[in-house]
This record gives sequence, structure tokens and C-alpha cells, in this order.
Amino acid sequence: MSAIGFDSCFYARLDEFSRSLNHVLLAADTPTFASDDDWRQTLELVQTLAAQNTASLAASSVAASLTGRMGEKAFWPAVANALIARKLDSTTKKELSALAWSLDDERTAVLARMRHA
Amino acid sequence: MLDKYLQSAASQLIERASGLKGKLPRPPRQEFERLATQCCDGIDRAIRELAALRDNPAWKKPENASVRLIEFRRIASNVDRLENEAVAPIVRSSKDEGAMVRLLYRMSNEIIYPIELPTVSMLSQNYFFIRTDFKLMCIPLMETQFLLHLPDVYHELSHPLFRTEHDPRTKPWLDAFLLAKALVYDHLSKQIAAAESSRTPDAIRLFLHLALENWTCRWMEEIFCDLFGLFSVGPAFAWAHLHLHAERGRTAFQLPHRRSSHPADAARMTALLDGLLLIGEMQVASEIESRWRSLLAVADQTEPADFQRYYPDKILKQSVEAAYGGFIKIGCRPWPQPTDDTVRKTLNDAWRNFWNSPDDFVAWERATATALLK
Repeated sequence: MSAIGFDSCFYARLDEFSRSLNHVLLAADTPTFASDDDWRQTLELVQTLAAQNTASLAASSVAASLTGRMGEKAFWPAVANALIARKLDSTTKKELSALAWSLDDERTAVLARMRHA
Repeated sequence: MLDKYLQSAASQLIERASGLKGKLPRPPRQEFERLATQCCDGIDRAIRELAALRDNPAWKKPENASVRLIEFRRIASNVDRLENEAVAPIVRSSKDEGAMVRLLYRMSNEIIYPIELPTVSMLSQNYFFIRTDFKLMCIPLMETQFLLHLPDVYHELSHPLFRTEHDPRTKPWLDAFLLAKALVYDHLSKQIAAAESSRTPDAIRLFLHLALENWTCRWMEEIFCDLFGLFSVGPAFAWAHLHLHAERGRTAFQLPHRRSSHPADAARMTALLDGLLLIGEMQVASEIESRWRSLLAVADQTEPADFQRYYPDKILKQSVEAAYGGFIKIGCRPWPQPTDDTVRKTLNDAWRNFWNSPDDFVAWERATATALLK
């Protein structure tokens, strides 16, 4: 009766958010690279991090796992606004890139948990 | 550097991923049909993503190097999981999986399990667990030859219910779960507010915060899975919990800690005993409680003074009632039934024989488990 059931589901959620965010980062220069779903998912995560929206269970569980990893929260509302406008400046890209690496760290951690549960 | 690295590394991973398909058994095995299809879909997707990552000019722009590396790591991780957690169990399977699938089917028929069954692998190195994204239940190799831990299969069957969405077959169960989570959330939030406005020691405040996080994140799901097991197979499930704790448990009164996956074994037993009373198994509940207390005494385990703060009996009891209501509303048939359901009756007989006929138990179990798996 290990925790793998929870973690394997969490891994799948993390993977979805990570893929979408990577596509959104690429879409800053090549707009066709991100689908509407990619923008929506990334916005959902960022809004959850900005504590503007906690309606999505998937986004809130992923955002909760990043607590402590992401530090300062003040810039998330600005990032959310940039995502809504689908215009990413260099500062926004930098924050989103840090978020992408945090998701990568969390994926590594959840894999380790699943293998040593 | 990255471009050169990915030219070869992505090509190699594409080769590896497509090679995985070649490992799948021919002719296909019926019990792995769904999982094998899921693997092939996952492999195809990974290959498409790797090819784009390697060849698409947008990925190759130097300013995208960082995100390109992250994306490569993400896809590599997915291929790794497909290989180790999904394809390998199919490739290394034997006739044991087929027998267990048939047993699982009978179990699900007896309780009227509401959704599609998971696939089974007998290669668990970590007791019973289920990978909900692959819908793969993993069971230790020898477990089907013995009966005392098998009730835990019903616990694992409950986990996929929590991953369903927009499904009327599971909605009442999930509603009951959300109700129980709200009850514990309200209770602990009030406790935390009271602690913040008084001279409560820092350690207790911290434990309260951790308890709230654990209950809302993972513990309530585990309690509901236990209760699903109990309502499915009756006393055998509570006995299996005692057995698991005796063999492998640590501190029965474990206090909350960060990223805790399961509530303390003592709190789980409290919920199970409440559940047994609810389904009318008073006598066996009393017997299990007595043996549980003896076990804790032998292991010199006593309840810490503040244990109830984090595992409030009242909330556990309300959760048990909510879970039972949800179980009935999704159409599951609770233990006991007037009909002779072979599997769950056998698992309860096993525990009766275990205590009543210790000298004959091993031989009886061997014969009975063999007959059960036929």
C-alpha cells in the first residue's frame, strides 16, 4: 500500500504542465508552437502560483509541490497578465524559464519517490 | 554543444523507444491489451516529440537551448518510465498474471466494482501498489499463493476511483470523499486558529499545519481506500492491516511529517474498527481491537498525549459514515452478503483458520489458495 498511486498520477499532471510551458516558451518566437491548451494550462498554473485561482485540482497540487522551490511570489500576477496577452518579454520569459526548471526538479523528485516508496 | 548532443542523443532515444515496441509479446496477450496499446501510443508520442526537438528549426535557435534541454529531459523521463514501468512488466509476465487477472475479475464481480479493472503485474518489489496513470496494479511475485495479505488488493482497487473525472459511476464516492476532506479541513483550521491565538508550543503548531497538509493532500484518500477495502471484504481487511503493521509497520502513532503518504497505522485501525461496527461486525471488531492492543503493548508503543489533535476520533467516525454512504451509492455490494461470494468468504475463512487452527493453517492455505486461483 505505497504512495505510488498518488505519485504516478501527480507525475502525469506535472508532465502535462511541463510540456505546455515548454511550448509556450518556444511560442514567444514561434507562435504556432503553442496550442490554445498550452497557453490555458500554463496560465492556470501561473494564476494558481499567484494565488489568483485555485479552482483546478491539478494546478493546485502542482503549485503546492513548488512551494519553497519558487520563492518570491510577487511577480506571478505580471506573468499571468503577459500570458493572457500572449506577449512574453524577456523578464517574463526568464521567470517562466525558472518555473520550467522547477517543474523539471520536481519531476526528478517524484520519480525518486516512486522508486523508493 | 547542445545541438550536436541532441542530434545523437535524440536519435538514440528514438531507436530505443521504437525498440520497445519490438519487445511486446507476439501474439498479443489479452490481459495486457490495454496497457500495450497505451505503451504504443506513448512511444509514438515520444518519438514525434523527439524528432521535432532534434529537427525543428524553432527548437534549434540558440536562445531556446535551455528549454530544449528541459524538453529533452522530460521526454527521456517518459520513455524511461514506459520501458521500466509498463513494457518491462508485460515482457517479463508469466501465467501468474493471467490467474491474478481472473481472480481480480471475480473480486470485482462480487463487490460490483464500478469502473474498468486495472492490469496486473506480479513483479512488485514494494508490497502492493498501483500505478494509476498506467492503470497497473503491482503485486509481489508470491502473494497469490498466500491469502492473508490479499485483502489489500481491494484497497488498491480504490485508488483509481479517485482519478476518475466526469463519471457518474464514481461521483457519489468522490462527493463523500470531498465531504470528509472538508470536515477534517474545518476541524484542523479551527485548531490552528486557536493555537495561533494562544500559548500553544511551536512544535504542536507545526504538527497541526503538517496534519492539515497531509490530510487534505493524501491521508484522506488512503483512509477511504482502507474503508473501500473494509466494506468490500469485511474483517479480513482489518486483520490484513494488523498483519501488515506487525510485519512491516514502524511507529503506530506516527506524528505528522512533511510529505507523509499515509496516516498513522493506529488511526487507520481506529477507522477500520469504526467501519466494522457500522457493518455489524461487533464481535470480530472486539477481537481485532484486543489483538491490536496486545501487539502495540508487545512493541512497547503508547499513544502520545497530543495524538488525538492530529487524528480526531470524531472526524474519523464521520469519515467512515461518509465513506459507507458513498460506497453504497456507487452500487457496490458491502460485506457481508447472504450469498456465498467465494473470494471474500475465502479471505475471511483464512483469517479464522489462521487464529483457530495454527497447526493446520499452512497446509490449508496452500490448498485453498491453489483452488482459489484455478
